[in-house]
Amino acid sequence: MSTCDRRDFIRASAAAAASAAAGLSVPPAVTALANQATPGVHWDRGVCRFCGTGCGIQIGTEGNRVVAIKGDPDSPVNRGLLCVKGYANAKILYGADRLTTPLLRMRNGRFDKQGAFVPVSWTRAFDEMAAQFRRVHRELGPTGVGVMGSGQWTIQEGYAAVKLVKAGWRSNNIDPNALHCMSSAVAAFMQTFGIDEPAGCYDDLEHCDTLVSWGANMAEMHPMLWGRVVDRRLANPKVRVVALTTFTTPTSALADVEIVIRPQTDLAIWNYIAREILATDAVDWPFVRQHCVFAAGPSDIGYGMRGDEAAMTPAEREIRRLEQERPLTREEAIGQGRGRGAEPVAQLSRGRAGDHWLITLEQFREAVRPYTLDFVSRLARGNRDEPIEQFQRKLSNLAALYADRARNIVSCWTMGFNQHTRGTWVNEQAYMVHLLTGKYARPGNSAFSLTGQPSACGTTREVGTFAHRLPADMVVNDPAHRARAETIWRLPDGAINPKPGSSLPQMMRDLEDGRLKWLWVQVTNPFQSTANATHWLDAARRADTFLVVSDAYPSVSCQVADLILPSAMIFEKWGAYGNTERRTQLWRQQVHAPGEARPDLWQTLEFSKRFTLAEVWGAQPVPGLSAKGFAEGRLPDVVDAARALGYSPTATLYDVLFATPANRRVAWPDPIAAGAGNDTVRHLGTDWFPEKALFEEYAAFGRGHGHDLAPFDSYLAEGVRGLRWPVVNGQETRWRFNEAHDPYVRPGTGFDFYGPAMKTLPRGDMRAPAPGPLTAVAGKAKIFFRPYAAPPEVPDGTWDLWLSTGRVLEHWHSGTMTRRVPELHRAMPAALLYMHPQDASHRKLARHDAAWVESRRGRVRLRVETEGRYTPPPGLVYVPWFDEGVLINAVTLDAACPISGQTDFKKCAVKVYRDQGGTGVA
Amino acid sequence: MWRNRIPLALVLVALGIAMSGCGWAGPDSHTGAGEIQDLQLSLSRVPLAGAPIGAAYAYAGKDAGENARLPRAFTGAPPMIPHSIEGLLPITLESNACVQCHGTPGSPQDDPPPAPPSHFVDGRGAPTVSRKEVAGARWLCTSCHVPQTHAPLLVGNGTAH
Repeated sequence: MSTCDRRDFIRASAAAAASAAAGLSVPPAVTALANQATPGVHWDRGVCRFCGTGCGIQIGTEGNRVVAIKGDPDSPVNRGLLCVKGYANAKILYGADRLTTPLLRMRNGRFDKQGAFVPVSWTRAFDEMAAQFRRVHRELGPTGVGVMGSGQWTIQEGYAAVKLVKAGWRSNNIDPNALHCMSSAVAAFMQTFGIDEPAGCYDDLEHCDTLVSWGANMAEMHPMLWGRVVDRRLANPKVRVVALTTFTTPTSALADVEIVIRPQTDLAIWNYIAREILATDAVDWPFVRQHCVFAAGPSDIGYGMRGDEAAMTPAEREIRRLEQERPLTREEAIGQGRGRGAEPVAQLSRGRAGDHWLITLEQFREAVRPYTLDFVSRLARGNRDEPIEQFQRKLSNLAALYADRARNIVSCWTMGFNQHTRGTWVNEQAYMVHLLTGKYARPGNSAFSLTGQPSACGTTREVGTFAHRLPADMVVNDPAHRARAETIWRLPDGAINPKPGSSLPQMMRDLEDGRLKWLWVQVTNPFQSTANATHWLDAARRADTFLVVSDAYPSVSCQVADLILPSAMIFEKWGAYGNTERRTQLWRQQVHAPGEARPDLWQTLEFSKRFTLAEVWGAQPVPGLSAKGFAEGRLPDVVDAARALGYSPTATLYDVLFATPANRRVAWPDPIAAGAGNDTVRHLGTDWFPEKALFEEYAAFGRGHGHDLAPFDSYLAEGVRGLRWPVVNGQETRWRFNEAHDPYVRPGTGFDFYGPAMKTLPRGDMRAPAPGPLTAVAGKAKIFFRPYAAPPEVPDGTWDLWLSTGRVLEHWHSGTMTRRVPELHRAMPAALLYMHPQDASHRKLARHDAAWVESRRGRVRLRVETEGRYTPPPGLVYVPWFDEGVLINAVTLDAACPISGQTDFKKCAVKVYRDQGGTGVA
Repeated sequence: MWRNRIPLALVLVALGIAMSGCGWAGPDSHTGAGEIQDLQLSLSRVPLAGAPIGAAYAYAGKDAGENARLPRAFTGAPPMIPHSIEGLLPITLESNACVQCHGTPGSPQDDPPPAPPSHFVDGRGAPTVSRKEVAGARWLCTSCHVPQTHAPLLVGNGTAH
C-alpha cells in the first residue's frame, strides 16, 4: 500500500489516479466476503424502499429487528451494490419518534379540531373517522371524501385503496403523489403509444453507446443505475455520455459533455434535433412509414393553474391571470408559427389540452423549420458566460449523435421533463426523435422515463390509483372499462362512478373551497410536497375538514392532521413494488411493527368493515356528472342490483370487496411464507392471505391484456429477482413492441405499437382538427410536433432569479425517514441555497450567510452555499425540498402541465436577500 | 390560520423538550403520556412558517489522513468519510481524488484504509473490466460514502451508536 502524502493530497494530479494499479486481477472468490454468513442473523431478500431503480437487497434480521442490509448480488438491477440510502433501509425503521399509537385531537374527552393530540385506541380512531366520514358524505356525497396515496404504497395497498374508493365509496377522489412525479410521462406514453410504461429496460444501458441525460441528476437520484452508466462509459472509450441540465450537478461531472440550458428550452432543442434529422436525412424511413403517424395538438392550453378567484393574493393574481390570456414571447411566436409575438393569445383550449389529431409529414417538416441552430442556441443557452459558438457546437454535436445511424442511443429523464408546464409535450418530443430515427424498442435504443419512487410504476400506474384510472391502463370514463372492472369486481352495473375524480392538487383546491372535507392521506406527506403549500396548510385547518394521516413518523402533514394513524413500515409487512423497468418484486414480512403501528393494508381493510352496502350504494349526488346511461349529476341506487348478485344490504364493504369467497380460499398460513409472519392477517383475526389474494385478483385485470403478471409465488421462487411484465408463459419481456422480444406483437409486423388508447383520430392542420371521418391508427406510434412554449412565471426586475427545487442523494422526498438516520442526517443536515458566487456577491451574501428566498407566494430562510456539489449558472438558484424547516413549497408555483396535471417544481421566479435579523429560532 | 395558532410559550416549551434530548414518543414512552402539541411533531420544533435557521455546519474532521475512522452503521455498512472532501470533488471520468489514497488493494489495517477486494471486481464477480482500478460501477465513491458534519441529531435512532 502506497502512502499518500497528505500535504500534496489535494494537488495530486488526475493522471496519477488513472495510471495507478494497472493490470490488477482479483479472483472472483473475493465476492464471497461480502456474502459470508453472519452468526445469528437471518437473511431474506427484499427491495429498496427508496427510488424507482428498484435495487435488490438482502435484509438481515436478528429476532424482531432488522440489523443489517446489503446489496443483493443476485439482483440484475444493482448486482450487489447499494447507494448510501439503500444501506439505510435498516435504520429507517428505528427513529426514536416512531408513531406507535393513533393520535386524535381532543378536548374534554371529545374530538375537537382545536384540541391537542391524545393517544387513542384503533377502535376509537376508526369510530371518529367513520363518524366524520358520514357527516361529510351526508352533506356532499362521494365527491366530498378523498384518499391521497403514493408511489410508495405496495401494490396490494394501492389496489385495496382504489377498490375501496372506486367500488365501495363510488368516489373517484383517489390520487397518488405520483401526480407530482411522473404523470407527464404517463400522459405521453398513453398519447404516443396507447399504453403506459417504457418499451425498454435497464439492459439498454449496457447495449447503448450513447446516453443523454435530459435534466436528470442520475448520479444522486438513481445512483446504482448511474453506476451502470459510468461502468459502461469507463470500459468503452467510444461511449459518449451527455448531460443536459439547468445547473451543474455530480452527473455533469461524469459526462463527456455538459450542456447547460435555460429552463424550459428543452422543447426548442428537441425540435432543433428533429429538424437536423430531417435535414440530414437521418430518418429511418421504413420504420416511420410502417410504424408511425404524425400528430399535433392545441398550444393555447394554459398552465394548469386555478382559473377562479378563490383565495388569491394580489401578487399571485399577476401570474394567475395568464391562465386566461397571455402575450406570446417573440420566441414562442416564432416557434409556434404565429408571427412575431406580443399579441395576447386567449388560452381557449384549456380543458381539452390533451386533444390531438393527425398531420402530414410535410406539415411536420414545416413546423420544425423555424428551429434553426441560430434561433435555438440563442434561446437555450443557460449560462450567459458561455461563448455562443461553443454552445452551438455542443448542440450541433448532440444532434449529430442522434442522427448517427451507427450509434445506439438512450435518452433518460426524470423530474426535469415531468415537472414541467409542458411536461407531456417534452416527453413526446423525446419519442419524436427516437421514432424518427427508428431508435426505439430495440436493444440499446430507448427513450426512458426514470421514475422517482419505488412503486410509482408498479402501484400507481399499473394498479391505476389515479382519479381517472382503473387497473391495467383502464379509465373510469370509458363504459367498456367500467363494465370490465365491474365484472372482475362482481359489482352491479352502474356501481362505478363515470366522472373522474379530483387529482391530488385539485383535492387540495377542493379542500380550500370546501368541496372536499374528509381526506385520508397514506404513505405520503402532501402538505410538504405540494406547491404553493400555504394555501393547503390553511385549508387543512378549516373548521369543517377532517384530515387523517397514516404515517410511520410525525410529518408536516401530521402537524395539520386531526387524526394520525401509526403505520407499519416496509419490512414490517408483506408487499410488492414495481420499478421503472416494469420489474415486479415481492418481499415477505421480516419483523413486527412497534407498538400499535399497523400495515396500511390492514387499515384499509379494517376501516372498510365500517360501511354497509345500504349506506354507500344508494343513489348519490355527483355534481357535474354527465354520462351516457346516468342521470345528470347522480349515481344510481344499486342496492337492489347488489341483492340480485347475492349481496345483503347489510353486508359490509369488507365482505363484498375484500373477504370474497375467492379471496378467502387463498389461505393463511401459506408455505411460501417460509416461517415469516403476517400482521395484516393477525390484526384482522382471519385465516386468508390478503397480500396474495389481492395480488392475484389484481393480476386478473392485466393478464391477456399486455400487463401480465406472473403468479404470486413465482416471484418468491429461488433464483427469481423480480420479473418484467408482460410475463407470458413464464417468460419476462425486455423490449416491448419488438417482435423478437414481445409475445404481444402481431407476427410478421416487426414492430407493433399495440397500445389501444387514443388510436382513432381526426386529421387537421397545425391549429385545429378538420371535420371529416376519423382515421384508425392501430399498431402505430405517434410522432408529435410540440412547439416551444415559455413558462408562465419567468424572472423579471423584481423577482430576478429562477428557482429550481429537487432532491439530494442523502434524503428521500420530504425526509420523514432519512432525516432520522444519523449517517444521512449528518451528511446533509439542512437544505441550503445553492447559488452562483456572482449572484451571491451582488446581494452582499457570502457562503454560509443566512438569506431569504421569496416569491409572490411565500418565503423561506436558509443558508447560502456557493461551493457545494451544485453549481448553478448566474441567474438560477437551487433549493432541495427535504427540509421541513425550509418549506420551499411555500415558495413554489402551482402551475402544471395541463395535459398531465403534474406541477412544475423546477421553475418559478424569486428574489434572494440577506437576512437582517438574528439567527436561531427563538 | 395555522401559522398563528401556536403561542410563543409553547414554542419555547417544545424547544426545551427538543434540547433536553428527550423526544416525546420513543417507542415505549407513550402510554399515559397525555397531550401532544403540534410542535412536538415537528423536527424543527417551530411553527411551519417559523423559518428556523440553525448554525452553519461544516464537514467534520481535518484534512484527509488526520482523522480516526468512524464507526460503521452496522457490520457490512459502508464506512462514512471522516474528513472533509472540500477541494476533492467532483469525481470525473478522468479524475478521482478518493482512489489516490484508497484505490489500491491492501490490508484493512493500512492507513489510509484501502477499498476492500469487493471493489476491484465488477458486478458479475469478474475482475474489473474497466480501465480504472476500482470497478466502474463503484467509481462515484460518494454514492455510498459521504462525509459527516457535527450536526446534532434531530431525533435519536434505536440503532445509533
